[in-house]
Amino acid sequence: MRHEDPTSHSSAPSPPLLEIRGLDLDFGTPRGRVHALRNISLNVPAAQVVGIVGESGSGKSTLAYTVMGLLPQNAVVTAGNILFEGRDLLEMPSQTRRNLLGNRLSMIFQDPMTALNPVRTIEGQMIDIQHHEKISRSEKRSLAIQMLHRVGIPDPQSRMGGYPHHFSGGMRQRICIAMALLVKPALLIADEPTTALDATLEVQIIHLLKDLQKEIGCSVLFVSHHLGAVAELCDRVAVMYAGEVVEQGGVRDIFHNPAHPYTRALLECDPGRIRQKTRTLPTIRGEVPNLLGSKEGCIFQPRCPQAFGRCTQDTPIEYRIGVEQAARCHLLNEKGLVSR
Amino acid sequence: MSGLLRVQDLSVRFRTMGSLKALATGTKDPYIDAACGVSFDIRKGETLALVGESGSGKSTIARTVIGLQRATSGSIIFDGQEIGALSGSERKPYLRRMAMMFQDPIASLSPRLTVRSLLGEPFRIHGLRDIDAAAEAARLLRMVGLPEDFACRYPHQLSGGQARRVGIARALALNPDLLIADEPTAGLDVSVQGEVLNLLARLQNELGMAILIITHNLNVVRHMTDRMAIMYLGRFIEVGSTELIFEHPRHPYTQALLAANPDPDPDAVLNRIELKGEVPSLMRRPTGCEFHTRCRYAQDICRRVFPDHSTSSDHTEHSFRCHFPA
Amino acid sequence: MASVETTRPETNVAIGPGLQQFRKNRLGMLGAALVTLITAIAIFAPLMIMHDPVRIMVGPRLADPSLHYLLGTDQLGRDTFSRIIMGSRIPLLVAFVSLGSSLAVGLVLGLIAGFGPRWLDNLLVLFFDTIRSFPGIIFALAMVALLGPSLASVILVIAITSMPIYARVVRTQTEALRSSEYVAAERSMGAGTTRILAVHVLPNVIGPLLILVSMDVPAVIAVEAGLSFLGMGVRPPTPDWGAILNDGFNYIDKAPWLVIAGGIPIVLATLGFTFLGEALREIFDPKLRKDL
Repeated sequence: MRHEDPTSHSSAPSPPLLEIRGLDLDFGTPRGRVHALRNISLNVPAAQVVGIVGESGSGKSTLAYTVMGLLPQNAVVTAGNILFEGRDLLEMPSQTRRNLLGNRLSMIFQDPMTALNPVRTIEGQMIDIQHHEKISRSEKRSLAIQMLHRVGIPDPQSRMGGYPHHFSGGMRQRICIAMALLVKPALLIADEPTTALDATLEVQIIHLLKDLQKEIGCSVLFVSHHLGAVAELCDRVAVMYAGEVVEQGGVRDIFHNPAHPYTRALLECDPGRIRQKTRTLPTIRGEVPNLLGSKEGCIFQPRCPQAFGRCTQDTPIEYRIGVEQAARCHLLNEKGLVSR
Repeated sequence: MSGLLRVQDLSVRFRTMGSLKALATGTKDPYIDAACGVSFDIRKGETLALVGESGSGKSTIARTVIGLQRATSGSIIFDGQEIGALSGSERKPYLRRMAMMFQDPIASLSPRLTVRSLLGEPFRIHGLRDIDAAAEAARLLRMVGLPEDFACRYPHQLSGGQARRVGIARALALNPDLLIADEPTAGLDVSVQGEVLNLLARLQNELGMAILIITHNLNVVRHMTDRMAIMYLGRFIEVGSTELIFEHPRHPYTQALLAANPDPDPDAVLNRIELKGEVPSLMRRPTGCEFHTRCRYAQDICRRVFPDHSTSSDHTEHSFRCHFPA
Repeated sequence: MASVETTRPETNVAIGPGLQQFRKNRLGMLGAALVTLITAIAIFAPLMIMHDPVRIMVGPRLADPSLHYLLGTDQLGRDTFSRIIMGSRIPLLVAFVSLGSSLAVGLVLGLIAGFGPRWLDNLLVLFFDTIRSFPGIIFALAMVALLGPSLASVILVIAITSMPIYARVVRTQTEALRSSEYVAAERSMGAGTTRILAVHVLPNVIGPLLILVSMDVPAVIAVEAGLSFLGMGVRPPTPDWGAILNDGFNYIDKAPWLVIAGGIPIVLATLGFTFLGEALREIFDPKLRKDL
């Protein structure tokens, strides 16, 4: 049943659709600067699903919002580039960047109720989203109907005249997906799209996203804290912790052969993985660090069971393991696995 | 082990509209049944889970047991006494012996009180004036593994996991016989989830209270509970020992729920069962077996006849409502 | 309830950070200073006057300001400075008594509406809206016509017309708190309605209410002055800011200081209470707090 994507393992030299290079982002707060994203480098190849996993406060949603340019006023990008189709999103005029949104780039959010306008009909919102297209209103309407039908809204012709509150939570998220994909984006950013949904609906949405991604051939940046959803949907995975990508690689590498101690700890904590009944579940000791001010050494070091002298002093670089996998951990250098 | 709480044939009905509006719109039955003929027992020191998705009525049952909600019919017997029909003041002595933890850890703590006052609330409410509030707060904070200086903090200065621990401390302040935990891990990261569940397990060992866990997450249930009940549209569709249900789920809905949060393994994803459609509205309950609209095994009989409880041949405590159990 | 006492000091600590911010709020500090000053003047007025404010012909008519008559005299030869000082008592008395009583009644009715049974809530809301639906000034004129122009009728009019607003604010807040999870948590521990109202609802309701009241004080002072100006408030010769304005208005060409002297205290009191109200709003509304 699992369709192999032909591009997922080829090492074709074609440039990635989205390339984030050395991105640093600060939030200005009354208490000082919070270094919310530090030295993020991440590629989203064409027609692939890249998952970003992490716990709350890891910066995964901030990263998604940075790519979309939807950051609050107090956010400042202090270094790095975000290349989308070869052009730097951070350098281009804001008008040009805005034109990409809802066109080449679109997004679905955690809460579908807040993402839809409550006082406009679904029909009106779905026609408006196609404002980049030079086609007639009736053509737009029929495209919208087709898309709603495709995402599983029963009887879209008559129901699209309804308002968001006429639909259940699961239906609303389907409508959001229909709207996001209606414009045939090159990149879809999905920020925790299933978090607000019940378990049986989550399965439906994941399957729907996977099928639609195959059909349209777009790339997806899938942000989630749910390891099961990421394992099922994604081709590549980046693991974020406290504002850094600590490990990234192919989905099998990350789940079968995690290299960073945080990735291992995170996977161990998922109760879905524990087969035997136990009354003591694994946890990660300590707490997520405060990102105010500058930090020395590895960000995970205070909680890491394998930390050693060097971890308190040097910030680890990204060590490559195999073709696709890379992790920021000094152990990889010590073990003499592969160095950059 | 003897019975601590016995709930029998409990039903809770809500009005969906006022009587005038019902008359105007011609609605004959302006009610929904959030819980419908639910029966279960909890023995002393035992852990029972009520599992279901939103709208399944699991929280309604918890709120009815603790008295935040009136039962429409049925009985709630706590330690041999019927408490379902008691008034607020008559109920108060029983509320010393049961406590509830609420879904949202921060919102369930009064924002203007310090942790010390919050932890003193149960003592003050039950008129225990001669206790040393500061010493009790320190004892409770130690018990849940928080530093004692947290006593001076306000709820908004706590993280989700810390607020959850304060909630546990407050619920256990009077050493209750029954703890009702409504979604004890909601909104927590996986690493913190484990901490909270471990804490609850340790405290149950030490204090010996019974726990009623309300959750949608079956993985939480597996390691924590002795028995579980799966709810759909306000009814129990499968009840039994946790081990048995995980080993051999009989109802198709239980199977789907079990498969919804599997081992996160990219190669093992094939067993995620996708249920079609959504949970029907409580205002339009399906005929026959209420799960038939989403069931892939549904036959004609499922659409007509509501299945009764059947029990497993080898385990009489394992019961389920399905015409074609797995 | 003894237990209420134990929690109260900590309730105050909760607005501690707000108090610090209040000190940084210059307009708020100015407002507080003005309000304190005006209140002090009203309280100690008899000690500050230079002449009997109601005695006619303490000096010449419409005398210019001088060292002897700091703000001159009016058409009846009364000392304007003394009249202004003594005249501060009526507006403040009216404001405090009328708003105080409508605050108390509004608070109680609002709590009952917000926490009581549904039918009582509906009934009370209907009552509030009925009062509010009368046009204010017409209502005031009708009351004065009925009860005669007196201080008591002014106070009564203001108390009755401002009560529904307070009651509605309290009701809305109470209703939101009633369904909040922490009130449910309290009830699950066995807390009774009185305890929940006193410990958990009241501290949350009183803040927004105080803001409203302090913002209403200037309006009340203006209404009182207006009614007196129209000759429907206090009876002459009682000194009162509105009455002084009224008298001065007739002689604006010959003795403009009468109008100016009567107007300035009204302006200052209005500004003082408004600034104070704005600053209080920042303290009590955590969303407007800049730090934290």
